[in-house]
Amino acid sequence: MNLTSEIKLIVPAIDSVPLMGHPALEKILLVFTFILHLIPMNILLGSVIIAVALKTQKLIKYGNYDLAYRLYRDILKMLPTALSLTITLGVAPLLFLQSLYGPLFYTSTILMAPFWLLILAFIMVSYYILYLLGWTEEKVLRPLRLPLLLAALAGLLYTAFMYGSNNSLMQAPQKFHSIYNSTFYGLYIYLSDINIILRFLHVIAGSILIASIAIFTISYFKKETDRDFAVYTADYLRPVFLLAFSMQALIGFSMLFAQKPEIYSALMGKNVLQTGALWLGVAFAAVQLIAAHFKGEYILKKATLITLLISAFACLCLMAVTRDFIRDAEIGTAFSYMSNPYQWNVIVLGAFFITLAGGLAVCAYMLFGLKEIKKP
Amino acid sequence: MNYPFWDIPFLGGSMLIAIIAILHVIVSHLAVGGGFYLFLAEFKYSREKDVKFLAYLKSHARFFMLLTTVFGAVSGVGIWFVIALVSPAATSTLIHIFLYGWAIEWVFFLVEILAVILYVYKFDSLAPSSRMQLAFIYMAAAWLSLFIINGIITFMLTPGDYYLTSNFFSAFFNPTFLPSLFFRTVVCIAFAGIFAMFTATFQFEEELREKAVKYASAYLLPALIFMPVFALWYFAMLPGLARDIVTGASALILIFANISAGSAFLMLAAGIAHAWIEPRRFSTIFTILLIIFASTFLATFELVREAVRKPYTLYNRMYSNSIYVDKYNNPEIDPAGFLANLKWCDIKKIDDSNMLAAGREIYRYQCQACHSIEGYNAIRPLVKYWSADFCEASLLKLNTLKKFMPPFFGNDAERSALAHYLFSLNNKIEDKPARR
Repeated sequence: MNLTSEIKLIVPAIDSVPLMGHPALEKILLVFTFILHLIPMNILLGSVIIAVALKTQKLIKYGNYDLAYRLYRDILKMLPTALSLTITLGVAPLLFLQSLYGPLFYTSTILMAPFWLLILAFIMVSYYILYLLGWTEEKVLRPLRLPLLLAALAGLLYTAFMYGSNNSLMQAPQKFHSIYNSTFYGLYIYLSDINIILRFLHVIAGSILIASIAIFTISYFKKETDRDFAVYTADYLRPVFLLAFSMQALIGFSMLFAQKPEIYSALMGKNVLQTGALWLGVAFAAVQLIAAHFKGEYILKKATLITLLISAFACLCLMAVTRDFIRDAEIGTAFSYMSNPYQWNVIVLGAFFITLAGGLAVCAYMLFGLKEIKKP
Repeated sequence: MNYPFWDIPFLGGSMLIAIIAILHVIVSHLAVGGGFYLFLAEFKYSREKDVKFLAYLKSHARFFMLLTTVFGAVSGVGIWFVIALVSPAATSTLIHIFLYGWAIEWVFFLVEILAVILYVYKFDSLAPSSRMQLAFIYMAAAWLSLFIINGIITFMLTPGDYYLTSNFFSAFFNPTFLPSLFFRTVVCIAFAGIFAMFTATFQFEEELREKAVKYASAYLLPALIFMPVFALWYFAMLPGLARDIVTGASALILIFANISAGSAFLMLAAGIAHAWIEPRRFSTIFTILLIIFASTFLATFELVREAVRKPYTLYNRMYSNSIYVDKYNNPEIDPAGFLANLKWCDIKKIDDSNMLAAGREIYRYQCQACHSIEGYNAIRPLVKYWSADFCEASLLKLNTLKKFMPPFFGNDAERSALAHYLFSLNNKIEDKPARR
């Protein structure tokens, strides 16, 4: 019996109830909804880190105290909403992940069950802390504000780490049996893969990058009414962005070199699509770097902002595609999501896509179509 | 059999699900009913232009958002997490059947969350007509998400002819779909009323408090009138065994059902009576009492609903211990015995040296989904005065003696091993050392 067949023995069988569409369709929806989730998730995590940085610098190191204070307060106020959207947009990819990779995903979560469940408590506590900090004056609970902010950050980092650890464990079915025999209580945290730490750091650095672009975008739209604030925000965020970018480049290449030889070679030319996705993503990252170098009037130009936003979004999409490829390559022949049985149900699929289109249209209407009271 | 078993000492998986689920259903019913309240209260404001009432509505909406968007959302994800940990096989089946149903529900959920966030954060800056539109969108999206989830939950108890036809709509519009939907809708509206009474008691101005309390009490009326009707309709659509369980086959469930009905009546009658007889003396303490009645009603209702599904997780398809009902017709299941199918257990053949260890494994996979060893629904006191032979005889007729128990699945040696293990819980016996 070779290793692959031994692994297959311990991977739970796929449910015999057919899915309503081809697994490839669910895969596309998984990646699409995961990208939707990544946007608020990165904004949330990165913004909390930037807020901690502003708070620990006592809001004065970077020049104007009032502007630094405003930036800090603006960031704090958007955090509860970002967290709500992160949770909401996280539901769909989790759903599609379960539908495709259920046998691996359920098993890995059972092996680390209590730690997995703790995520819920940490998210909830983090939300209420962020709400309290965002919607109360700075003088309220003054000595506790920084520790509370750090506690919220710790809750979010815990969540990010456990997601990463679970996803990595899910990719290692050959370890399921021995782990299960070591604890029936799910008291296991998967750490024996260098990629877990690298991926965790990659998430942190990436979140700072995305958050700095998002915060800059918000301040950009205030440039007509408050130019000083927009310029200050851009000046403050530029070094933050560059530092995060440098970290990200270092971590990203370390991750590439840490891949298994077959995955590394696929990303380095053997698989044209995967190589193209990764390196195009890197190219879009480079475009962001160039755009972020603009200073003074140039950074506040519409073209600069659009370049930053498009390149950041494209980079995020391509990296999500690359991440998905690595997952399947890591799992190898032990499991294939394509083995899920399916039977087309066009009516239900149609109902979903119509609802999705309608739902997104309603969201767009709520964001841009509602009438505001005209201020004198 | 297919998945590893998560051992939760003392509490057991079913109790853990119950704790998270009860917390969630209370808040989620409030989240749905709250949509009706926000929209109708906006409508009331549009007619009366009472700015004090509007100010109250603003504070009510903020508190409402804080409770529902995160606690409701996270506990909802929590149910999903915990059912996947405790019953991964059943969860997987549900996801395969209802994947796009859940995906549609997610869209409604997204709309709902965005609507309430914008409603609260832009309360002052939006035109009243836009605010009313947002409240309407929230109400519609929240109720539609109940519509979808209701189809999935009711399917678990009354699958209709889905397992014969494999038709999604047979599964979704199953026999209890409509009565459950109507029942839950009036419950949601009543919960919104009670929550509004609670926030109204924090208004300092007596006149406003009286007005808000009286207005909120109207939300209890549909439940007072229609809940018994929908409950009876729901009851009539249950499978025969489920009806037997709730009417006396299980004394505990009968007690829970009565507590549920009693709490519901107290919540509705006391809330309406106090609001109309003495609205000015309506206190926060009294509304907390109403919330306790409401929570007790819904918690016991959900416990009863879960209990009447026994011995199944998915009615007529999968038992509560994740073993398929038609296992003998399933080509993937080895009829030779239970251990032969147990992927995660290394014991495949029973002898004197591993009988207790094998029994422990069989117990873990066949019994522990409902029975902890010590703790919730503990097995140790249940078998305290049973001999090993009696244990074995009981296992042979398990589902005949108690209709809400699944049958034992396994060969004679496995049944004997489980009986010995059960006997060992109260008596000292050990496996003999293996011969070298």
